[in-house]
Amino acid sequence: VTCRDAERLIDTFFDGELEGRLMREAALHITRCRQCEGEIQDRERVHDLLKSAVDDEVAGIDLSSIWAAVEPVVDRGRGGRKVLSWRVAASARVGRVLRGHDDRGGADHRQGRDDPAGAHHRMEQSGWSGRRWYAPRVAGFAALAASLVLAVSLAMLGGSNPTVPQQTGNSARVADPAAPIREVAARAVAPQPAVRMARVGGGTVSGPSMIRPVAARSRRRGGQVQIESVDSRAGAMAMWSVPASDTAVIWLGDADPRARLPR
Amino acid sequence: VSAERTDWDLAQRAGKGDKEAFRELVERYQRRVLAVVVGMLHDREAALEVTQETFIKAYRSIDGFKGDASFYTWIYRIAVNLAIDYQRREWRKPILDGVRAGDEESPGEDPIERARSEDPAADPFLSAKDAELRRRLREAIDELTPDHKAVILLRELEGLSYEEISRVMQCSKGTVMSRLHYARKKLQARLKEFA
Repeated sequence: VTCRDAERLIDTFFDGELEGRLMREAALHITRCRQCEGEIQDRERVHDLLKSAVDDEVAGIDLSSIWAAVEPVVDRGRGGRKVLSWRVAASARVGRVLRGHDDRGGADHRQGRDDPAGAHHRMEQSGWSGRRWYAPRVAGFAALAASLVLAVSLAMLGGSNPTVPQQTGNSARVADPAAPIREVAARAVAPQPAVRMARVGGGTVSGPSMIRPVAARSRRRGGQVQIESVDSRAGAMAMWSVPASDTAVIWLGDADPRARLPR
Repeated sequence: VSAERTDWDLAQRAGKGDKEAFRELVERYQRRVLAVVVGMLHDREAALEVTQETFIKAYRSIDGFKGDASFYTWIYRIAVNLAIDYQRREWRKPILDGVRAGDEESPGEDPIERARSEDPAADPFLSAKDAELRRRLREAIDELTPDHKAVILLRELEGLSYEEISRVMQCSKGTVMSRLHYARKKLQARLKEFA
C-alpha cells in the first residue's frame, strides 16, 4: 500500500469498513507514514469535536417534551390509517348533509375537522362503512361538481376577469388601481423606472425597446393602441394596452400618469 | 441481536395499540434521533419539533416497519427525511438563522475572557480554542448539503455502518462513501484554517 492507495482507503480504514488483507496492509502503511497518520488524526479530531458539540447542544434539551407531544397522538390511536383518505370522510359528511342525515354534534364537528379517523369511526357507527363508502363519495363529488358549474355560470354572467378593467380608452378608472397593475406588471414586463413618457394614439411611442415592438405589431394589425389610465395613488404607473391582447406596463415613476396621456 | 429483537417486539406491540411499548421505543431512541437532527439543523427548537414529528410519523406508520431492517435505521430514515424537508423549506433563510442567539459571539467579546468566566478551573486558552474550533466546525457543517450532513452525522455520531447509512439515505454504498469523504475533507479544511 502506497500513500496514493492509502488516500483512497483512508476513510474506509478509519471507519473499520476494510476487511482482511486490505485492512492489515492499510494499517501497516498508515501507522508508519507520518502524512497518512496525520490524515487519521484529522478525522479523529473532526469526530471528537462534532460529537462534543452536538452532545452539548442536546444536553440542554428537555427530552420529556418529546413524549409529551407524541402521547396525545398515541392516545387518539391509529385509526386514521384505516380510512381511505380524509377526502372520503369529508365526502361522507357532504353526503350526509345532502341526504339530511347530518347527525353530528358540535363536539363531533370539531373533532372531525382535526381527526379524519374520528370522522371515519362515526361514519361507521352511522352505517357508512365497509363497501358502502363509495355512496357518500359520489354524493360529495356531485356537490363539488354542482358548485363548480355554479361558479362557472356566475363568471360567464358577470363578464371577464374582474381584476381587468372593463372600460377601455383614456381615463377609464378602475375601482382598485393597485390590483390590476400588480397583476399585469407581474405577468407582462418588469416595471421600468427609466420610462418617462409614452405618447400613444398618434402612432409614436417613446419608451424602452420592449414597448416599441408591441406598439408596432399592433399598428401593423391596424389596431389602435390605447391607454387605460389608473388612479396612481399606488404609484405613478399607467397600464398601457393594445386591443390585440398585447399588454405592457409603462412606469412613469415620478408623475401622475393621466397628465401624460394623450387626449 | 437481542436488542433488535426487542425493538421488533416493541414495534409489534405498539402496532397492536400498546402505548407503553411505543413509549419505550421513544425513550430508547429519542436522544439519538434528536442528536442527528440537532446536528443537521443547529436549531434546538426546530430539532425538537422534527424529532416529535418523527415519532408521530413512526407511530402512524408502524405497520410499515417490517423488521427487515433495524428499527433504528427505520426511525433514522424518517428523521433524516423530515430534517431534510425542513431544511429545504428553510433554504432561503440565511445560514446562521438556525443558530441560537446565545451561541453567537458578540463583536468585540474576548473568547478567552468568556471561557474563563464559564469555567474558571479550566485553561482559558484551551477552552477558547476549543470553542472557536467548534464554532468553525458548525459553520462548515452548515455549508454542507442536507444529504452530506446526514451522512457524516449518522457516521460520526451514531457510528452507523456504510450499509446502514445507505439504507437510511436510500442510496448506494458508493454514494455514502463519496459523500462522507467530501464532508470530511470540507470539515478538515475548515479546521486546518484555524490551526
